[in-house]
Amino acid sequence: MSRATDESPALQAWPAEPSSLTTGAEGREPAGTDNGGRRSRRRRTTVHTAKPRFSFREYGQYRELFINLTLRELRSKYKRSVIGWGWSMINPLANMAIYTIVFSMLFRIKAPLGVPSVLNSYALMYLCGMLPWTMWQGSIMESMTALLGNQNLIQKTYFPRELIPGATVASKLVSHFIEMSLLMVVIVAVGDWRALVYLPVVLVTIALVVIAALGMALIFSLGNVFYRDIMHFSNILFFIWMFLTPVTYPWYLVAGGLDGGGNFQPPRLVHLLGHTFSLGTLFKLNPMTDAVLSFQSLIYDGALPSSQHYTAYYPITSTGAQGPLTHGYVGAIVSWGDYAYLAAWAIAVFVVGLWLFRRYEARLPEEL
Amino acid sequence: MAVPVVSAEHVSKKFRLYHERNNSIKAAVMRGGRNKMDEFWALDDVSLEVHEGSTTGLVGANGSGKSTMLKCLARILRPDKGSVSTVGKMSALLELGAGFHPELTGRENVFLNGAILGLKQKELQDRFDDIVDFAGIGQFIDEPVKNYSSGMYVRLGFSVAINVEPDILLVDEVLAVGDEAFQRKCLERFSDLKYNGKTVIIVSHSMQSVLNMCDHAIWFQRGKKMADGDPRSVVEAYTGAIVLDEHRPTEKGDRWGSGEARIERVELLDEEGREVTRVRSGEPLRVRLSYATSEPVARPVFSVSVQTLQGLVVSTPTTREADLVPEKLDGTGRVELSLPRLPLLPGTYDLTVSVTDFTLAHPYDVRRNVARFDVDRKGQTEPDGIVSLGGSWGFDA
Repeated sequence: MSRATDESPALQAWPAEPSSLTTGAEGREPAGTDNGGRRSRRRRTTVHTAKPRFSFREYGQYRELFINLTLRELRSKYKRSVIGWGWSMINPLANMAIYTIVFSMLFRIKAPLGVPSVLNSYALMYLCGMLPWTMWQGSIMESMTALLGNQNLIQKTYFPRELIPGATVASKLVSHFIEMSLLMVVIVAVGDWRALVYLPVVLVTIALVVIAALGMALIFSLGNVFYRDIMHFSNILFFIWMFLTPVTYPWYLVAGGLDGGGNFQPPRLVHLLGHTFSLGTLFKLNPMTDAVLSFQSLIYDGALPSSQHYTAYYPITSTGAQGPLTHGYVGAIVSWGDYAYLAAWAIAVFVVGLWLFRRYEARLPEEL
Repeated sequence: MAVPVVSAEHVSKKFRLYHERNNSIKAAVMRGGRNKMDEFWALDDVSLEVHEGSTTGLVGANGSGKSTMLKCLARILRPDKGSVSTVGKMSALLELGAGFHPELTGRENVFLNGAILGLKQKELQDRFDDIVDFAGIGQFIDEPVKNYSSGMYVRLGFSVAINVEPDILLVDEVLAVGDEAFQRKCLERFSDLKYNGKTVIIVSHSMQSVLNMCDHAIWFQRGKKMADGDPRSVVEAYTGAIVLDEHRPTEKGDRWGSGEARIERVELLDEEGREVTRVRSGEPLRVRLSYATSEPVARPVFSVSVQTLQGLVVSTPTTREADLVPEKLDGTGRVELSLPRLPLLPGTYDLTVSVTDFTLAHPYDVRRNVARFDVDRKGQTEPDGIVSLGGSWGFDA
């Protein structure tokens, strides 16, 4: 009986499925009268000890609550605002407009050229990376607030506490799905049908980002209960992190590649400790770079990881001189190796996050 | 029937008391990673068993560990040692409407709260009308709950919790809220639960409700279980211990007045004139007050007030309605109240004595809770209440 739940043959399935009768306030009949006794009273013994426990079955039992908490997050977010859900569209679009004006018009940064999609739009490139990034950052930041904000729920009721950060992440995922669907519609409308073909890979990538976000949300929201500095620190962390991730600037500035003028920019090199590294390799150590590049590659470029596409371009030398028109293969901005790295990292973060949360969640009612 | 559906084995729960609570990393680094703290055991090796269909009351002073135990049973707190096992669906009513979100409507909150308590969407839909009816919320159900009155809030919370139809219901003093009509409704629901063989565990400071509702009581003191069993004997042991523990009320805080006349001594005497602290229901009791005056006092009135431990005044006989008001009182002397048949039912009572002017408005000396005495059972008495009406029954109307 060391585990959370244990069944003796007679005691199963908890919570018991009550007879689904609706005979009013006084109609509480003995259980097990429904459907010819098929649903006889089944009860399970629950054992609660000092040891942290882990039970998939328990998550199953609290599925309804998870859905409800997620709906609550979604509903309460835009309560009492006139535009309501419109804000979830207006915010990314406003950001897009601002960054497009600053980067594309003021700094005159050329958009990357999608290969093979031939898309040439800073705004669309930005949305491909920014939408997942917003989900990622929002999940983690809002989980911290959510765990603090649900103090009375945690101190007065029992349910697996992971559900609170989990529901925040889920609500972000719902908004993300809507945003991504609209982006897909726009991308297809401007002529790149490939994004639709690669939709399954896009979904897997979203799943990886969500798994990592959940792991981070568990770690950050738990840590923030013990040290409230984490929330303040996170503002800076995510600001720096976003600029270390190619969300607002095109990847060719870092690792070389085709810009919107048809020029093939050379990769940037850095010299560190007597070795020469490609800046792109260093950037890809940041798993969010791999994630964002995957989205840009699949949706904007219309290219699977590690794919090669034959095209024409003007090579640019490291001195900035433009070479003659050349034909050749251009590789996708991510490889399956990068993709595997992202996947491994996401799973690792999730496992560590869940383990830490399980280990310390028992102290939440006291520490909050 | 006698299956333990809730059992706690050697449960201990430790709380950390921080001297300087500071959740910042800087503070943690300065202290070398450790918070300065004391530990104290809110529960210390407590074992208990609750049987199916019983109603169990947890009693004890504030900080005795009874609420901690309830939270451990409800799985809100995880014990540091020992284990708790429960059989069947459990619902905890530690605070009504704990899961309500102020911006959401009553309807949305019912579904959220129901899900916390383990109800499925469909079951909730089936019971939704019952829940709203019971709470008496009416058309306000589609208003955000932040616009509710506190009574509506509480009623809706209770209504959801009680309609979950748990096998085990844990309740922490939530009955202290709501108006009388609603409290009555709640009590009815509790007896329904009991009638249907459900198990109820209730934490209460009201000995009367423990005696009325429970068939089993457990007394906690400083994290330990002191007594476990029949509610009457447990409650008696507990109330008796309050006397031992807190001694007699001290002179200072419980005495006031202008001091021209003072009550120096209060004695409870039985028939033979022996000083007693225990009397039996229906037997004679005399209360003798010894007074002294510092200057002549005109028309003083002596009174003796009998109160229950909950502070309910049973009666306050005075010398005024007995027409025993001297024009002038000087020096020392004694005045005695004689009760030929003490009509109090078994329990513990406190005496407050005073000497005032004739209007009762100006106190010369008041000594609150100056004496405490226990009334024991004598033969058959009414099972519930404070005083014996001593009536007689007869069939054949």
